[in-house]
Amino acid sequence: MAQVRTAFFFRGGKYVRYEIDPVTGAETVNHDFYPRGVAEAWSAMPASFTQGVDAVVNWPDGFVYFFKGSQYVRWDATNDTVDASFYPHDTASQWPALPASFAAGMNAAINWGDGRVFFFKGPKYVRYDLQTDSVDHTVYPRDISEGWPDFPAAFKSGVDAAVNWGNGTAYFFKGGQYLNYDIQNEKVRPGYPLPITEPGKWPELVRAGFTGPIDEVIEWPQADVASVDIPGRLVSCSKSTQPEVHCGGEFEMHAVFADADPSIPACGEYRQYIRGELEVNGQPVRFITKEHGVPAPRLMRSRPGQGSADDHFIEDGQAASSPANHFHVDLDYGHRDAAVGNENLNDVYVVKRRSGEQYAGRDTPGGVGAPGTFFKIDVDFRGNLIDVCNDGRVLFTREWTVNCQVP
Amino acid sequence: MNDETPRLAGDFWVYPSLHEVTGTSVRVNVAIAVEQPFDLQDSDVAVELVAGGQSLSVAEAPVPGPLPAIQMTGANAYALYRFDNPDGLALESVTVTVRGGSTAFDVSLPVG
Repeated sequence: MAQVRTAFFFRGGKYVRYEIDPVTGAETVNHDFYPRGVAEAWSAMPASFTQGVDAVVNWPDGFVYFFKGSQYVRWDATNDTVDASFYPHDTASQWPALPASFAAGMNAAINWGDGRVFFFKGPKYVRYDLQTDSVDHTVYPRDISEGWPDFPAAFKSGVDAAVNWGNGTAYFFKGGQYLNYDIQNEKVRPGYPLPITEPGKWPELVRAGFTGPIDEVIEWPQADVASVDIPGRLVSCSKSTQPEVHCGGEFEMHAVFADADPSIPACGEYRQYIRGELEVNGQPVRFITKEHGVPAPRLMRSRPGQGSADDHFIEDGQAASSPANHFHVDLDYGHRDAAVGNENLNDVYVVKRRSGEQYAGRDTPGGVGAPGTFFKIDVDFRGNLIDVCNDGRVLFTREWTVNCQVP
Repeated sequence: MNDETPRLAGDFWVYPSLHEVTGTSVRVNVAIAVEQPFDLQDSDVAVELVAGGQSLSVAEAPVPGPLPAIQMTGANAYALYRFDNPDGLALESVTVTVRGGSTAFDVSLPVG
């Protein structure tokens, strides 16, 4: 299901959060909150970047790059953090593919959604290849008038801001005007440029007082689910008594996250939660689990009574401090930032853990004991796919039960 | 139990749950976080239940050999005990020892 998309418009030290409903096309701004100070809301942003930015662009690995003058900041959209020990940093030293004149400062940047990013500065632009992290210096920097021949003259001399709207349209802003650009057909749509104030075009921006010039616009990265099979191959009870007693279930977790800017796989993650009842040799027993980011382990909780507001699910995990945990790190399902990376073969993102679009997990919950051991396993599982770039918004949820008893 | 927080006994997270069987005995079911089933043997674990200022005698303990376990993402091994409490002494503490590391839980509140 398509999620509401978010774009941010920046001007000076202020910004506007712009929401786009992909189904109805409705575009809204909460005017009770916006425009708002960048310093007020982007708490991880270095102070020097809170009074205005020149260019902003999202990258396929979930990072968003903010450029100002000769410096840049890498914002991790998956957890809204900036490594303050490194950023802001000189663009020239970390972006060797960019021409020196661009590293010294830019006006706008746009992820074209097909492996290319365009950077604009004055009447020039550069095409950046994401796959190879390179720029063809035999061609670029190139005049906007050559590469974008149907741009109006005012835009050939430079653009203030550019954004890929994610629906086949890119918008370019200059002063109080903008262009609607048809990405597939590589041309400016007829009738443009128009003023931002043109009736019926950007009413929410006009109401917010963002009528130009606009410093930059970014459509914020987000997760979208392309396909999901959770739980896959579910066996809710499988048991044997020789040579050891085994009693439990098994299932797999498969998900594919969409990869079509601004839908970025790095924003999509899996989470698994548990609750229920356990018995060993006829005795009720508790289960020690470890939730990601929670300092100490907790106990799995029983199912709640009817009408309870608390569903009693807690995260299914293992604490690092167990000496038998040979990874020596906390283990949980689906966290891309797991210190163990992709080494736990029951919890893998393909190809790269940070940015892979496919998630594959496997779980075999149940009891194991010497012959004669009794088990009763009655555990509910909840699997969620979430968008970590947008406050953990739940994209998919499913619950299932492993219920098994021996003898 | 005063709270439901596992504690470290040496290197192992442990949690004992108490159940009064009759007025004269108490069960202590200890969960111990491990990674794999059969990581622990019965001889790796010891439990002391104190009531009325004295250690209660063990009536049932894990059978010799590997402890049964249940696995989710991680695994828990289980050591199940029953203690005699013929005089119905007020429970005070449970001390769990795993491979030489110990931790004590206050169990002065009602069992259950």
